[in-house]
Amino acid sequence: MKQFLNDRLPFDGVMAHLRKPLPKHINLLFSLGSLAMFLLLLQAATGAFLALSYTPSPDHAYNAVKYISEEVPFGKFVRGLHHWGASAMVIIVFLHLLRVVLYGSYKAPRELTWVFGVLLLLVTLGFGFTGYLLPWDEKAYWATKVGVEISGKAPILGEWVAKILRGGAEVGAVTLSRFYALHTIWLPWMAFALVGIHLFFVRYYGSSGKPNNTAEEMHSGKPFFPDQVFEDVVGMLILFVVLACAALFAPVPLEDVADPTNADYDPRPEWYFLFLFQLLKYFKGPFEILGTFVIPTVGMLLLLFLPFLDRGERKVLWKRPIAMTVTSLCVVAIVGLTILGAASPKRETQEVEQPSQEVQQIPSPEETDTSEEEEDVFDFELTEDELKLPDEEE
Amino acid sequence: MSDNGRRSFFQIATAFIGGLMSLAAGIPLIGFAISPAWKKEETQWVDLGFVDNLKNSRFRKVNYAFTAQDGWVKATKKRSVYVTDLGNGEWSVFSRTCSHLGCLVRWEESEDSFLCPCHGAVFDKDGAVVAGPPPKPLQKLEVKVDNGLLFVKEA
Repeated sequence: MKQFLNDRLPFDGVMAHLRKPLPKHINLLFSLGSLAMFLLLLQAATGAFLALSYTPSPDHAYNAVKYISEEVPFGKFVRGLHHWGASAMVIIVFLHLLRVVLYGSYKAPRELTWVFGVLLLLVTLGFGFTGYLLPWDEKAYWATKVGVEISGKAPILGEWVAKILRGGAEVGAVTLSRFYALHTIWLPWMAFALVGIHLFFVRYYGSSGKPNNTAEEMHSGKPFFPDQVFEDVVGMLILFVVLACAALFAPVPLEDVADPTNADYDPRPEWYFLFLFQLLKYFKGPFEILGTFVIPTVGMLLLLFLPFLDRGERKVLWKRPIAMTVTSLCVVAIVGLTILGAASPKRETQEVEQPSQEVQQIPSPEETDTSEEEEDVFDFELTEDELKLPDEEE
Repeated sequence: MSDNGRRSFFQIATAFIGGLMSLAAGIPLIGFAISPAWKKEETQWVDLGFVDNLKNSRFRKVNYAFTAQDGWVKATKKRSVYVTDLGNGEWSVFSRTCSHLGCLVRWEESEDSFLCPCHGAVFDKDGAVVAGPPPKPLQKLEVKVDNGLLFVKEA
């Protein structure tokens, strides 16, 4: 069998490529990329199965998710893996990015590897944003409503973008359908295309290793296969066990069904958007656009083009004072804002329940001046002043 | 341990851990997908109408609807049956679903048979297969009379 395949496929060539030695001093931080890849595959697998019992419609989505969680065998576990896997993916991708910054791995000739990596970070956040609308509970509805409103604050095209995302004037059936399509078709295609390109660059340029490696050390470490692959797989096993425990023992939240009239609900995004949520509180009035558009956009553009902005010699981060300062400030700001956002108290007051009222139009004087029978409909009489329109009062 | 021995161990361990994780994730995922196969179907009695209105019926077509849980949806399901009054309080109710591939059969009075328009199946008035590919007779539904109403057992 092996010979049969070897005769027909370039296995020997592939294996020879995989057995090439890595740079020396490769440590556990270099497994983060593989872990991110593992999580993407786990999310794709669990998502594909969850989709078997889901309908992207406001009438059914919530009940479908409840059905998965409460009635389908293994449903709670599969949903738990998907839910906690999403959070793990954000953490791992973020740590992977930090590792690359720490060792200056984004510098020439690996600029494109970095650019496609940052695009993958955006896709990961896109998965998160489109995914948490799908259960159609209160959190899903309100966090999405606020999130789409934020995109609407962008100058010129903002409202246009928001309408495209919503598929209309407000979050509803079309929005849910769109987010489902983005989450399960558009973004996965983009993710796998970007991963393919990213991995091609990783293999083409080889591992960056540590910045202080000598030229000889760059090609005299352990082979990628099986040594590094084994370490990666052990990391995946540990991650999987953690996620499986979370899926088994930590409840996956499902709040009440989305209610667009519930003024008592205090919207909060998923934890990985809390920094943005908190940031928005500091910009008021005319400065609001700084929080909703300017800072996130500029931040993302700076991140995307980092290798072209930081063209200095490749050294470890603590020997690059400016990069060290900027990175530390960014990490402190993101982590700090996330903690502040998580700790910010929820509003405890509740709207006083009042009997709902039908909108009652004040009848025009002509309408009130009708037969006695019609006058009896109203149990009050309008004075002459009340009958005046506001601009008539002056 | 020699380099070769160490690397053989890594390869075997990698395959073992990979297999273990595939099983740990794969069994729940496959179980999730195929769970409808072993889900017990719930039955309920559905009334077809007053027996007085169905008296002396012979292969009378009756359409009816009932609500049942369909996954996460409380759905209205529609069915069609042929009802025959056998006398002495006995009733015969045939499902119109062909036992071959599920098309709806029609009662042909002139031929005293049920005919399936899809693949030419023919069932006699007792539901037995006369011709065509069906592997088993037409389904005869369980019936009961309660409070003057005729009920059939629905799955």
